[in-house]
Amino acid sequence: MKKLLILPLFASLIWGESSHVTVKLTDSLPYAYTTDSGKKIKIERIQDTSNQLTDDYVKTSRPCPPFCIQPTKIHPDVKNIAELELVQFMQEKVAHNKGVIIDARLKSWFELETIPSAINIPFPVMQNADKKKAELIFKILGMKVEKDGTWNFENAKELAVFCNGVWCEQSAHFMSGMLKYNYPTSKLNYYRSGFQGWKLLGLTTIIHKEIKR
Amino acid sequence: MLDKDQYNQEEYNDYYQQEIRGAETSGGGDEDDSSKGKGGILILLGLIVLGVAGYFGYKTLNSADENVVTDDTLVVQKETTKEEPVKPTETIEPKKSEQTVKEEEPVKVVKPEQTVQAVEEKEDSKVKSVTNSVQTAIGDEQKMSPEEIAKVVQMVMSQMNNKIEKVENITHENDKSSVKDNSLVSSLSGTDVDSVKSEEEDNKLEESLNNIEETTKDTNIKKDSTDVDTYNKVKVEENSGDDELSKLSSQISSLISDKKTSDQTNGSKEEISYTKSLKKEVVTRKNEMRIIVVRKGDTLGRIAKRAYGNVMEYKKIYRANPDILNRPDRIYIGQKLRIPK
Repeated sequence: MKKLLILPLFASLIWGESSHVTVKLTDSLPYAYTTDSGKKIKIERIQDTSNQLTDDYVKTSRPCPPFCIQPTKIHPDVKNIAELELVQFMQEKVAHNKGVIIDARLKSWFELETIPSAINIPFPVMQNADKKKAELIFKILGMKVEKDGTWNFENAKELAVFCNGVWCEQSAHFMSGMLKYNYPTSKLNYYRSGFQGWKLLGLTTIIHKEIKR
Repeated sequence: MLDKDQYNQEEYNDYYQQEIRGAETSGGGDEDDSSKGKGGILILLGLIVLGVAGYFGYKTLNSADENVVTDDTLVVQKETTKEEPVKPTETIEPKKSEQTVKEEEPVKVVKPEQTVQAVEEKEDSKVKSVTNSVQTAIGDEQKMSPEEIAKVVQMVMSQMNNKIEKVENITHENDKSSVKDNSLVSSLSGTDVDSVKSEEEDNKLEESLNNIEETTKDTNIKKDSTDVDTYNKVKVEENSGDDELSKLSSQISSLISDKKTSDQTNGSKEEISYTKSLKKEVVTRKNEMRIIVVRKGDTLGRIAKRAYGNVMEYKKIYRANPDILNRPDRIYIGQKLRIPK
């Protein structure tokens, strides 16, 4: 009997809470969806307006080199994107298998926390890849090898590449490998703000490996 | 012979039994449980009654506002019929409404419904002042019959409705223009299944609210499979899906793991040192302080036990939170504590 009375009240409380999105992505977009490892992931922002980033990604100073401020453009023809473009990329490209978000950081970084629907290709893999390995990777990304041996990138996936942020050059190293083997620049996007920019906005993140406390 | 300790023990036992009896008589029994249960139900019913009363109170307040509007209409009507006293009020009113519309423009872009309410409230206050002035004017000479007044009321009501519609139209135009300005935002809204797609801006909020309701259901269902914490971190097993993206990811990771090159560099010295420093950063990050939210039943000792496996490490947590904790034995639910390495 008690439960019968409590449940509607509890449900109404939950409904009341859920029907109020204070921190939206944009004025007209409270949240968005993508998938990660087969799971539907809601991309939203932390609703606690008093929340602040603490130690993770609020560090101001790391030794430079190697952690130096990155130039705006990786390559004149590689398009720079920001958070909204990345969300758009998830919805328009990733959802339709036309694009992939690449986390170019080392696997240990990727496992700690990453952006939803991102897959990991650590930058050394691409940077140091020989032609054979590059071919294997590009094939997975949709490139086709023609009969005459030429590489056809017509159906190759569009990529959005990121690393830790403006102080991180892992994306640049990754891109250098991609460009070395002529992956089309029109199919490359660089999210320069990187994971720090994503975290700064309180957006949903994915943990593939939990930190043991 | 009674030993002193034995005697004390017996005395203590007697006392303890008395205490238990006392507790049983004062608080035990099935009847008491049922009375507690009843009490709980009564409290819940009381809450429901309060909620209903609040709802009706809110309704009556709204209806009171509506009455004010009708009074306004009366006043304005009298203005039209009696030209002499009404003229100044007639000239004032349209100006004021225009001003309010102008003032509200930037706000309307964000929340059209709220702005319309604000405009209505401002109009109410405005009309109150007008009613007062007209009532004083009418007070001297009451020439209108009740029928005339009724007609006038109808006319003014229709005028007021037209005004509100105009205000709403303006807000819609503003919304549309703002959306047009930002093609990216509009395209995002257009592409998202759960985002707002309709052209009518009024329906946007309702739709998004509906979507939110649906999504909360989704997340509630999915809590078994994905663990979402309060800080938007979702724990997911990597490559656990059957979709194309998961397959692609597993292909890539198998390719990398075969060659054992994921975190290795066989390039130049600079590259190797860069990779090393990156790995150091990962370790640093792992060891950086974390934030935990105090839950029911937590003590600093228990948190320390969870974090370090040793209750005595509570001092570390206490020292790391000087701005939050004044005493190590005083923590509260919801507090966010920094947990150092």
